[in-house]
Amino acid sequence: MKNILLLLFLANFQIGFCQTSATAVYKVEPITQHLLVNEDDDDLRSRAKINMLRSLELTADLEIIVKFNQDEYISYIDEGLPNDAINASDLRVAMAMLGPGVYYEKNNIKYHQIKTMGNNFIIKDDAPQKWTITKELKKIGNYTCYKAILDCAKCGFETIAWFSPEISATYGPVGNGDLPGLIIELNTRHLTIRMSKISFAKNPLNLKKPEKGKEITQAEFETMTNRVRSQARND
Amino acid sequence: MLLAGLKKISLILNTNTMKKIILTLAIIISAAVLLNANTLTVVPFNPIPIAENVIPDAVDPPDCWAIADEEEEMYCGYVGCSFFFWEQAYCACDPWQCD
Repeated sequence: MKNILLLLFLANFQIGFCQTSATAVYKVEPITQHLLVNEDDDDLRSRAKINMLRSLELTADLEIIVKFNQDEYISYIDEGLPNDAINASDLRVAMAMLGPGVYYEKNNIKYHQIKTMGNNFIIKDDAPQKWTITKELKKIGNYTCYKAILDCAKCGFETIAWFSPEISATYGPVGNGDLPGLIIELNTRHLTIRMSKISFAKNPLNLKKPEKGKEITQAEFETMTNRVRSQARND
Repeated sequence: MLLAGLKKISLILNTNTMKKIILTLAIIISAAVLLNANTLTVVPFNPIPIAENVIPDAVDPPDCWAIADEEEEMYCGYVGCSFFFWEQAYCACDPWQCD
């Protein structure tokens, strides 16, 4: 009897491990404490904090969708139903905090479709994210997760990912990934993004690469935005 | 005086019915005049004060560029770290520039 149970358990685990097509939904928890206005804040900082807090609180109503096959992935923010009570500008800032647009990846080449400066762009990037995997473990739902810290010289704040090798996918929410397992939780300074459900598919999902927009490289995009900012500042 | 005048008229007309009609009309008109006089209220003339055009203290328009920079710094650590975020923060402050 024990052997049968063990076999069933292993078979179940194996099925879960071999699944390479799935849809995962991530919920967002905003971290708001550091955006409370205090006595030391000048007028500019107070205004900025009030604006940010208003937008950050909206992120709690957003969901991030991740769909993947073995070598293909897509992720985007699900705004839910339209709500007239929400200020559209605040919502756009909230989405910018999470990661706006559509993230698509195929055969390790990443595409990020985004509308900026009134135009659509598809930013192409083949550089993988680099992480330092630690020995720290924690259980999130049914999954045992390892802690990884993003190696990012340009980043002002630390980004931590909790990934589970139990789901053999190198993906995560809004373009994050390149770890030996699906990212189950992502911690940034302002947000905790955590997987709330996942449904595995028997057959590969039909994922479409975003087509709308001018394709440019990450380096070209950065050059362009830096130029726009410096020109506008001098005007 | 009014009654005397009416009487004179009724004598001139010299009919009983006419007399009655004229008397009734005279009573009604007199009553109406008296009642009106009692209910009439005198409204003192108070000119409406001319509104003073108070000029509010000058309110500086928000420096959206500076606010967007500040928000970006708080969001990702330094000015220039996220163009997407900066753009949306700026547009939220000055939507007319982004329409």
